[in-house]
Amino acid sequence: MEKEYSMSENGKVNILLVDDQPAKLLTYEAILSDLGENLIKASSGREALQHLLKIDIAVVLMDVSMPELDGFELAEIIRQHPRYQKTAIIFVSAVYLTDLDRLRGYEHGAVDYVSVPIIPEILRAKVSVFADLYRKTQQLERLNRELEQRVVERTAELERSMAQLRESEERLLMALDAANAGSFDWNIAANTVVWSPPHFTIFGLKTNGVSLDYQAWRDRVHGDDINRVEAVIAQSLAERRDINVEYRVVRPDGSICWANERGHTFYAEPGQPVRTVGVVIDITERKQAEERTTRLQAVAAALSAALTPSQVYEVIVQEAATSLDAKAGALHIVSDDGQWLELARTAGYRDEALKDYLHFPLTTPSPPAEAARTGEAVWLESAQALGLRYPQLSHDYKATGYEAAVSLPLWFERRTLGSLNFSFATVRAFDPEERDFLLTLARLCAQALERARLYQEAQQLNTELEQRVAERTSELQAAYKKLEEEAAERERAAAERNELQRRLMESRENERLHLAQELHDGPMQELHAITFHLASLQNLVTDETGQAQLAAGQAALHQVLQSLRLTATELRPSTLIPFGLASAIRSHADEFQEKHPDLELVLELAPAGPLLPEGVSLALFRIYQHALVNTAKYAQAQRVTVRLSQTPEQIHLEIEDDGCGFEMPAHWIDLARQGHLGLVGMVERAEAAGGRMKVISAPGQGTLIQVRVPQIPDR
Amino acid sequence: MAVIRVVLADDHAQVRAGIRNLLSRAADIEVMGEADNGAQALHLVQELAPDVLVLDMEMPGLKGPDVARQLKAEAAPVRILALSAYEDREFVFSMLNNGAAGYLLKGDAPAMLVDAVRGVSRGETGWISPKVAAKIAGWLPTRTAKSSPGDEATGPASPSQSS
Repeated sequence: MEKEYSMSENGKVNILLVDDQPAKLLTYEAILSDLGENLIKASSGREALQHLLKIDIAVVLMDVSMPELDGFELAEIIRQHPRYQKTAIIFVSAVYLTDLDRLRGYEHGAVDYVSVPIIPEILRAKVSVFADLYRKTQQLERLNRELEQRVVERTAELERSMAQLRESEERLLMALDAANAGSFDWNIAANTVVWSPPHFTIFGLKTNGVSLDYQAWRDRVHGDDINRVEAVIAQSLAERRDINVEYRVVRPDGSICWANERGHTFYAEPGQPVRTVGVVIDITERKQAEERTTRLQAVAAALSAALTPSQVYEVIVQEAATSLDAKAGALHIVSDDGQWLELARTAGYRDEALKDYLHFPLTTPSPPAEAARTGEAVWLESAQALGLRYPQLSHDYKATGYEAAVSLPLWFERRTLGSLNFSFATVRAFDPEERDFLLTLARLCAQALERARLYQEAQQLNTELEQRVAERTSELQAAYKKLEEEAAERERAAAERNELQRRLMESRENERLHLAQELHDGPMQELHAITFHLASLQNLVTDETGQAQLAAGQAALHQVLQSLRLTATELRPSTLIPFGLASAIRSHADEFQEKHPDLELVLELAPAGPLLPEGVSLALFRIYQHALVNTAKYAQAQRVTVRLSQTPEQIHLEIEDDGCGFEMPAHWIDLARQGHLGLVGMVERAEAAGGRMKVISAPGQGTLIQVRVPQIPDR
Repeated sequence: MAVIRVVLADDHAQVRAGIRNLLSRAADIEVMGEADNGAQALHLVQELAPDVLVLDMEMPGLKGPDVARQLKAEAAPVRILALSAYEDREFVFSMLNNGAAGYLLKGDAPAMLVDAVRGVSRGETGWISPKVAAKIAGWLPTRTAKSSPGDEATGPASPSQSS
C-alpha cells in the first residue's frame, strides 16, 4: 500500500492535524509521516481555521475534545464554508455513545473517526484513503476544467469556420452571379426544383410565379439535345458521378443559348438518389466561338480541296455565305493591271443590283472598292449605316431589301487581290468576335486565291514545259528517223556489198567447178585414154629397153594424172555435190590424214540430213578445208576435231585444235594485217552464205572455229 | 575357150577407144558394144546379153550406180566391173552395194582391166583397185562412229587375184 502512495504522489496534499496536546500531535505526525504528505499542525480550533483559510487542506484530523472549540464545533464551522464542504474530516475520540450519534449527523459528508487508543495502521489507512480521494478529486476537477476549456475553444473554432463558410458561400454566390451562373437544387424524391435568379435568366424565364419541377426544366431543353442530356444524367446517377453536360436552352422568345450544367447528387442508402444540387452557366459565347472555328475549318477544308481560281471562287462565295448566314455574296478580283475590280463570282444578288459592280475602277467610292483598296474591312451594321457612309449608294441598296453588309479585303502579303462582300437580311452588330472571325475568313480566302493563282501559273509553266518537251521530242524523233534512214542506207549498202561479195565468190567457185569439170572431162579423160593405149603396147614391146621406157612413160603419165586429179579435187571436191558436205569432209579427211599422219584427225559428223544448198555446202567445205590447212601449217597441233551437226534451224560446223593458238586481235582488219588472210576469207565465206563465224583462240589455248549458218529452205 | 563378151559404157569416146584397144589384145575377150550413156548401156545389156559390163561411174543422164541398181533390180545375169576416177567411199559403195563385182580406178585399169574382166566373168568378186581396197579396210572398223552403219555392212571382201 505504501508503495502505491509513493507512486501516485504527483503532488503532495496537505493534511491538517489539530489537537490541543502537543504530545498527541507528535504522535499523529509520527504515524502519518510515512504517507509522505504535507503535515500541518494546529494546536487549537482557531489556529486550524487560520490554516484552512490560507491553504487547501485535503484531510483534517482533529481531536474531538479540545478547549475553546471542540472538534464538532470546528467541523461545523468548516462545513459552513463552501470551499470545505467536501473536505474530509477524521475525528479522534474515545468511544462515547453520544459522540457516535453526533458523528452520524455528518454521514453525508466525508467524515470518519478514529477511536482512542489509536492504532497507527488504521489511522494511516484512513488518512491515506482520504488523501487519495482528494487527489483524485483534484485531478478530476482539473480534467473537467481542461475539457470545458477545450469545448469553449472548439465552439469558438466552429463559430469561426461557420462564419468563414458563410462568407465563402456568399463569395461563391457572388462569383456565380458574376459568371451569370445559376444554381439549382433538385429534390428528386419530392420532384421539386429550386433555381437561383441567374438560372431563370439563363433559361429566359421570370422569377416569379413559376412553379418548378423536372418537367419545367425539361421543357426548355432543345429537342435535339434532350435525349442525350437525360442519358448523361441517368448514367451519372447510376455511376454516382457528378453530372456535367452541355445542352441548348430554348428560351420562351425562341432564342437559343448554350448551357453547361454541373450537379452533385446525394444518395440515401441504399443508393437511392435523393437530391441534386449544382450550377448552370451560359456558355453560348464559347459555343459560338467553337462554332466559328468549326466553320472556319470547314471553309479551310473546302478551300484546300479547291485548286483552280474558279473552284476557289465557288468555295469562297458559296461556303462563306452559307456559314455566315449571309443572304448574298460577291467576290471581286483586282484586274492584272491593278486598276479595276472585276466580279469573279456571286450568289444571291439580283442582276440589277450587280450591274454597277461587274467591272469598275478600284478608286470607286463603294464598299467593295474601298475594302480592296485600303485593306480595311467596311462594316455596315444596317442599310441605314450604309446610307450614312455612302449616301449615293443608299437608294440602290435599300432597293435590295438587305440590311447589314460587310466588305472584306482580300490581301496577301501587302498586295490586294480583291474584296469579298456579303449582305445580310437583318441588322448585325458585328461584335469583335464576329469581326475577328470574318477577317480570319477573308485571310483564308486570300491565301487560297493566291495559292490557286500560283497553281495556275504552275499549270501554265507545266503546259509550256510539256509543249517544249513535245517539240524537243519531235525534233529528236525526226533526228532519230534520219539516223534510222541513214542506218538503213548503210545496211542496204552493206547488204549490197555482201551480195556483191557473195556473187564474186560464187562466180569464183563456179569458175573453179567449171575448171575442174573441164579438167576432168577433157585432159584427164584423154590422158586416161592414152594410158589404156600404152597398156595395149605392153605385149608388143618385147625388148627390155622398150619395156623399161614404156613403164617410165606410164609412170610419168600416172603421175600427171594423179596431180591433175588432186588439182581437180581441190577445185571441186568430187563427193560434195552428189553426196553432201559430210561425205566431202570425210573424203577430204582421208586424204588429209594420209598426208599428215602425225596429226590425229577426229571427225564427229552427225548423220547427214537433207542435202544443203550447194553454195552453203561449198562455203562450209572451203572453211573446213582452210581451217585444216591452217592447223597443219601453223598450229603445231596433235589433234584436230571436226564437228558437223544440223538442226532444222541451222547448220553448225566446228573445227577445234589443241595447237599453239594465237592472240585474238580486236578487229578483223588486224587479223588481215597479221597475215591471217585465210581466216578473213573464211569469215567472208561464212557471211556470204548468210552465216556467222566465230574464232576463239589464245596463245597456248588452241583454236576453235565455229560457224553457224541458218537453214533457209528456199535458198 | 569361151569368149568373154563385154559391153563398154563410158561417155568419153577416146577412153572407150583406149579400153577397146586394150581388151581386143586379149583373144578371149570380145567387146560386143559401146554405150556413151547409161540408158544406152541398159539397152545394150538387154540386147546383147554380155558377160561383163565395164561401167563408168560418171555419165550424162543415168549414172553408173543407177545403171547397176537397175540391172540388179532386173536380176540381169551380167557382171559389172565399175570403172571410176573416184576413190571416195560413197562412190565405191554406190557401185559395190548395187551389185558391181569390181571397182577399178581409172589409173589402175590399164594394168588390171584384162584380168579383172576375166575374173568377174568367172563370178569372182573383189576386183578392186588396191588403193581403194586399202581405204575400205580403213573404213571397216568404223572410223567415224556417226557414220551410217549400212555403209559398211555390205562392204566387199578383199580382192582375190588368184587364177
